[in-house]
Amino acid sequence: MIEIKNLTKTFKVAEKDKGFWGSVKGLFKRRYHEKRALDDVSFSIDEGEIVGYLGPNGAGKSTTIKIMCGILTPSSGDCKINGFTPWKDREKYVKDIGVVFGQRSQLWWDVPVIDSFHLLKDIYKLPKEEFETQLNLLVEKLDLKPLLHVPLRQLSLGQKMKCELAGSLLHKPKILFLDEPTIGLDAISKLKVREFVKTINKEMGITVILTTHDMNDIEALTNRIIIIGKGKLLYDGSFDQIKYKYSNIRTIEIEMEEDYGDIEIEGCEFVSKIDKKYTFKTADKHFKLTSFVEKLSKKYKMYDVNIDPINLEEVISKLYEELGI
Amino acid sequence: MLYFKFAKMHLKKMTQYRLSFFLSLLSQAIVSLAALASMYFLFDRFNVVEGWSFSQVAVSYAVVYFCFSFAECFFRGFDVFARLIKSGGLDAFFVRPRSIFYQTLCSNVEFSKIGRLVVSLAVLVYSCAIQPFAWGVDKIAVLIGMLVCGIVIFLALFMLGASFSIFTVEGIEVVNIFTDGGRDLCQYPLNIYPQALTKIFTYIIPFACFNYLPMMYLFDMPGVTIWGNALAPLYGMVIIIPAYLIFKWSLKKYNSTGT
Amino acid sequence: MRAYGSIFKIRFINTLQYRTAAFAGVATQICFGLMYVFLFTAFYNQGNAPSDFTQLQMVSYLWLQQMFFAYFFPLDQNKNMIAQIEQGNICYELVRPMKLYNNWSVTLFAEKIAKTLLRFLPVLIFAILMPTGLGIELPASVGALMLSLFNLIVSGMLIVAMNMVCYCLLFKTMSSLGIFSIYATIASLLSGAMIPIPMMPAWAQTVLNFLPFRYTSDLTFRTYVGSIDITTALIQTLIQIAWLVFFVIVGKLLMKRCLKKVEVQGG
Repeated sequence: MIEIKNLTKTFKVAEKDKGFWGSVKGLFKRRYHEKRALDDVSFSIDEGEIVGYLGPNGAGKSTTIKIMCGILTPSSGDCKINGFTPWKDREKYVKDIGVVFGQRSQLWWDVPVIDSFHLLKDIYKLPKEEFETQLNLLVEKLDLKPLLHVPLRQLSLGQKMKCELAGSLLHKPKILFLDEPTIGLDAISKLKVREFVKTINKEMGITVILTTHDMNDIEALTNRIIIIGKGKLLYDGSFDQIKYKYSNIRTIEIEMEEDYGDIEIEGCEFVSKIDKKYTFKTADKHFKLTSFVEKLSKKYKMYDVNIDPINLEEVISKLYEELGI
Repeated sequence: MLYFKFAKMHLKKMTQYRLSFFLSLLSQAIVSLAALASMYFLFDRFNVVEGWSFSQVAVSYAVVYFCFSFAECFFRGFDVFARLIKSGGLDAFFVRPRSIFYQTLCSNVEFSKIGRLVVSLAVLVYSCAIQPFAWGVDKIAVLIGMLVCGIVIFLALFMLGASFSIFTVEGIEVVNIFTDGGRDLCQYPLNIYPQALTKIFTYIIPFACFNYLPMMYLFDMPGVTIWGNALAPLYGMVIIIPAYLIFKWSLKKYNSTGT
Repeated sequence: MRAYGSIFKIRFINTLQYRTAAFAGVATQICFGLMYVFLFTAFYNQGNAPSDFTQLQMVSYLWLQQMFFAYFFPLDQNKNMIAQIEQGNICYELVRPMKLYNNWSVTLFAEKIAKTLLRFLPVLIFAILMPTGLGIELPASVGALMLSLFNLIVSGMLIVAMNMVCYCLLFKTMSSLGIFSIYATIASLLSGAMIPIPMMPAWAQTVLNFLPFRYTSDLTFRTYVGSIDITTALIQTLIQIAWLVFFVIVGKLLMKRCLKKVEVQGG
């Protein structure tokens, strides 16, 4: 369904000279250097998949999404989606995709949501009945009824996101691009968004490509992740595998009765110290808390001990670290 | 048509802030009245300029302002294209199954400019009515041609400005030289300026085609010809072709560079 | 005093960030300068020019207008301040150890100067290099130059003081865009920004003498070009200062009343 081969995108970046005369010079003569935003990226996605597209800021995530949406033309490489090349057959191609940018609304700020939907109907040239059925379906699934006649600006972030999702699905796209759909949402709204994405994927068979910084989104929605860093594809595979790889990492927090300064101890890495609260980390599979505490208690007086398994955010930051991005 | 549906939405948006909209409308009207007033002051002192009287220049003023405000009102999307780029709104156009040109056209209708439109229309009707000659079919046709040509030329200028803003969003002020500057300058007959300037405004930015040249025909100035004066609006409209091509080309550029 | 200095510095650096915008501004100002010089020269060529405003003086006046375009802009819309008023965030400003009136006027003044410093010099150089009749002339006398510099500074303060009154009135209407642009248009016309006041009919000039607007740019430029003699200029400078004092008092009183309202309502 989505076939991406050797996608490369280079940008020319103007080198700016400093100072007044430098910028005067820059008006007439500019030197450029090339920046590779995407470097030989290939992957493919099957119909009905949900794929998490991850990477730190500036890794090339949004460049890829922009190319896949037909906003940008790549420097080289190929991208076939639904049999179309996005930037060549843009107008035909985009009828089959839906896009939600988490940070930017596609609906009208000052008018009731339903009016925006009707406008979308005309933009996509949807037949009336088809539009009505799809709208009713989405309204029911997302519980939009009370929101339809309210101007977008009066809605909460979570409500807005629900409307954005509905707006991007009115024309029954086969593929949905979600760019940070849960950014800034409260916990309940996040859950609802995830629930909905799962439903449309299962019931309507929509392929979903999602970028996010929230690993819980990934955890809830998919097992396949693609990681990109500095423009290069670094990992394409299952999320569970990565989680397992780092599952033995644990954090130990100890509150001492006194401030002992930095503490070095075998078998555990000293991470940080805030006042009398010490944090240690270990990746040792055979690590035993009891023997560790015993060792410590010989030298220091402890007040409280707490052990945490690694959380998802740490998994990904660990992974980025390891991949060198 | 989609454009009218968009226009309805823009109107709906404006009515959400009724007082603000009303005040903007008023302020737009005052802007054109102030321009008219300064022109009046000038003629109060100097009476004529290079053989053109106040009532004649008033027609010129009204035509230029009418065309400019019409374009500003209904083709506002191109006029404020830089904002569209900055806000990321342009990116969103690419994921919709309509042409970027059409979506830009629809993206903004600035109804408050109707304030200007009404004032300039009133001045146009009045100043045409007080002309000493009779308005034959030919002259009315030329006048309509002037209005259409003017609107097309301002649209073309806005499109060129939009193309320019793809290359530098920050430097967009320069475009005002041609739009606002052209408007201010060309409300007076072009023969008062140095030759070079007249040539620029005839052959490069064809303001003369909807204003100076056909107006000489309206006022039966010496040496006018059908081909050179009455039909000038037709020549002027040609500018829309290069403007459209440049707009297309700069969108391609946007496609390959992003922002 | 130091706090005002640092407000000034931040505003200035902030404006300096946009270099391309500054270049575009210079180019625009130069082109507009040339266009208006050509336009008004054409009228002067018809004869019947005002006796107290020669063609050379008129051209200098026009270039000064372009050089100080940003400085004499009748109403600077500071988005930050407007937002604070409209959204009622103004109560946060009250926690700061600075008088709001002073803080805002320094901000407005600093922005004015920052915008002007970036643009006026290239325009001036261009205008000097232009041949006689198209470029700027030397000031009428050393005294005229000194006095016009003084006028320039007071004018800036006067415009800011008038702007402060506008901002205070915004508290009441809460609809900035329309009102502000109506004010800006009218003030432009009445201060001679659209056509120089000496070219206006006598009755209009008389009326404008009784309004504050022309005691900004018009007075400064006319002192410089010598369209009014030094004695008249001195008298008008006193009027200018009187207007400044008047608007500062009105502005401060209005602000006090507005802030009281905010305190009572709790923002």
